[in-house]
Amino acid sequence: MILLLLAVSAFIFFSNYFFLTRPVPSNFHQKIILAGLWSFGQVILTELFLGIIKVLYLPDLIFLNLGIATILLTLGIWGRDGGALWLQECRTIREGIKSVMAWENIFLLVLAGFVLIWMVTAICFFPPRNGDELSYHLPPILQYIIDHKIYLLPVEVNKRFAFPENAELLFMWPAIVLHSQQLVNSVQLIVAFWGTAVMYGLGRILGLGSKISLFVSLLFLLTPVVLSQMGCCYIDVIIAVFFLTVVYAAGVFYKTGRLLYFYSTALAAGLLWGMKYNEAIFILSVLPFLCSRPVTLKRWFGFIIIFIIAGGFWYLRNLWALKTPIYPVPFSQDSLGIFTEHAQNVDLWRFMKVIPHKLFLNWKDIGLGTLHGGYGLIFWSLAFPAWLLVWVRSMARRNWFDFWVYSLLVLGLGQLLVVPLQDYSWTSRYSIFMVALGLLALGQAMMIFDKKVFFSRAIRISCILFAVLAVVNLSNNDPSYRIDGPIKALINRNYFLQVKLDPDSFTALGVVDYLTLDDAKPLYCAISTLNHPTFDMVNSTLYGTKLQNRSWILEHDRPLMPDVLLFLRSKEKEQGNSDSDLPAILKEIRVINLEYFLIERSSQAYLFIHKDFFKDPQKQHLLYNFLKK
Amino acid sequence: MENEFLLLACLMVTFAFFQLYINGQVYLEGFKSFLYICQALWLLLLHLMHLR
Repeated sequence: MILLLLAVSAFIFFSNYFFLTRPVPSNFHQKIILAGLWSFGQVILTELFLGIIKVLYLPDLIFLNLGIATILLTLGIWGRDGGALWLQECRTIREGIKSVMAWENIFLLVLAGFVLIWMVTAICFFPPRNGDELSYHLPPILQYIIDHKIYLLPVEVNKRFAFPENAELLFMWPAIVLHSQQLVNSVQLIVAFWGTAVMYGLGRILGLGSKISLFVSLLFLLTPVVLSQMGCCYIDVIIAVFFLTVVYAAGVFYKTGRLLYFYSTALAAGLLWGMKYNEAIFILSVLPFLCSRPVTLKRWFGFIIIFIIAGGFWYLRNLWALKTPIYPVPFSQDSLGIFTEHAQNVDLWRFMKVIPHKLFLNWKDIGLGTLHGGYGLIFWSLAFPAWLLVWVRSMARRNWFDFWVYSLLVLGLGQLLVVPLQDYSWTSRYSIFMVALGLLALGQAMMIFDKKVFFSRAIRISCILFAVLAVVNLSNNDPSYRIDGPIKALINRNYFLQVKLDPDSFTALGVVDYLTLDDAKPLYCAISTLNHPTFDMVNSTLYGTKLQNRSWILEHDRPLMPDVLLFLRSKEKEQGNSDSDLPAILKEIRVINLEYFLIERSSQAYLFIHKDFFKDPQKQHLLYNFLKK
Repeated sequence: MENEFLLLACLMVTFAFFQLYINGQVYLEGFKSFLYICQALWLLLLHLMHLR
């Protein structure tokens, strides 16, 4: 199945690539960028289409994608000599590689190669394990795969189920093909590597040389927060890269006036709009590029249609089901906030007062060492000062294109500043594209002062040293990428037991996964709590590695009582490590009738499994093996 | 041009100094774990070669 996943994905990409050899004959990087964008778009929209018409089955999805890819490939090579085309592409690639070769780029490529091997290994060993991915990025797509349709999961269970889910549909691709959670972590890695091509393209349209463009794009890849998120199912790297793609496509349209880029902007912007609510504001920021060229109303109509098809479904769904396109509504009459639970009162003076403090927190690189932040030494010490200079300079020289592109960094910073102070430590990740813009400015500064050989070398050496430090820092990160333990043990049966999950209380579900890995009949799992403050009744862990189990709360035909019950303990009880919760829990699940066995008691959770499950002696044996470990 | 260069160089040196002062420890903390990871990848490579 892994081979099928790789083969179909590669076929989709290369079909798009060869289709693009017609409109974009020469530029290798442009084809990579557009082929990536179109391939991601194809995957997302085919899943969405099949999901909406309730036939989200693997064969349908594979055949639909292969059909589209075959048509594109045929259109791309129709009437042309395939062999000559292949040779021409190889020649373009060879010339491209020659033009970017420099000692600093070779070093960074080796470092990126090392990171790639490390990440691929970590992705193979580690399950999704971080708060947001377990609670709301993954459960909806796993439920869609099981139910073969895309619909709105009950928002009473988790309000975030109503969020737009284009990015999550990318996680669905490996999950549905493998019918497993085992490679869902790989998506951001692929997007991050594709993002280097997008960065390279942006560098080129901003007038950077090919060597410097590759240099800064590899530095983007080696940014701490990008490294941290590469092996998990958060969506911030995806969003940053798609936003950069919107800027790139709009920028090329501004420079060349080619309609291919006009419509590609529509696709990228639509996909981005369907990933997160607030991206609409960022999409508006590229409108000046699009409006600077004369475009007929008919073409604008085409633009809007593509835009709505690519991202509008989630808003229409919410409007239909919840009577509001954006849910949960982030503002009321007297308060606003990105996080509704922490909505802040509209008090302009109070807001202004904390801005210096927030700016300082940003500069301190808050969130470093976690997936929530860490723009890195290169950004805050070299790229940010360079950005200040290049931004002011482009304004003084009336270079409006550069000025506008670099001004987008202010927009990213502005997004961070509106976040309430109490949420600050975990929100830097919302503006990762700032790092890319800063690094492009650093490249611009290197171009401006290229005669100062000492300066240029010092920048290159410092960047390489700081990039190495970022990679070293990754080994002590949260989420953990400590692959040494699993490699030494070479364990492959207990996927969810490799690491501590976040929150740790869900780690207990790893036992259920271990006991049911090869089962055809699902277990219905429920998560309950006694006033646990971070309570989510659905968590992707309960589905199991091979999606062999079901969420009791989300199933329509569920049994009266779940097979597995996970009771989370309240925070206070955790600290005291007392069992005072137990009588209440026992009462709750009617264990008086001895229906369940208590399988695991950790400091944060109790795990109960129904007695009937252990009627099978093989399960008793498995449990014995587990307890023996 | 020369002034711009001096200003930029000064800013970069100052920012780099304070960044390293504030976060240097965080970056270096991972060094030991990093060595373990390199060793583990090496072990994995040997294991895969052995499987072949």
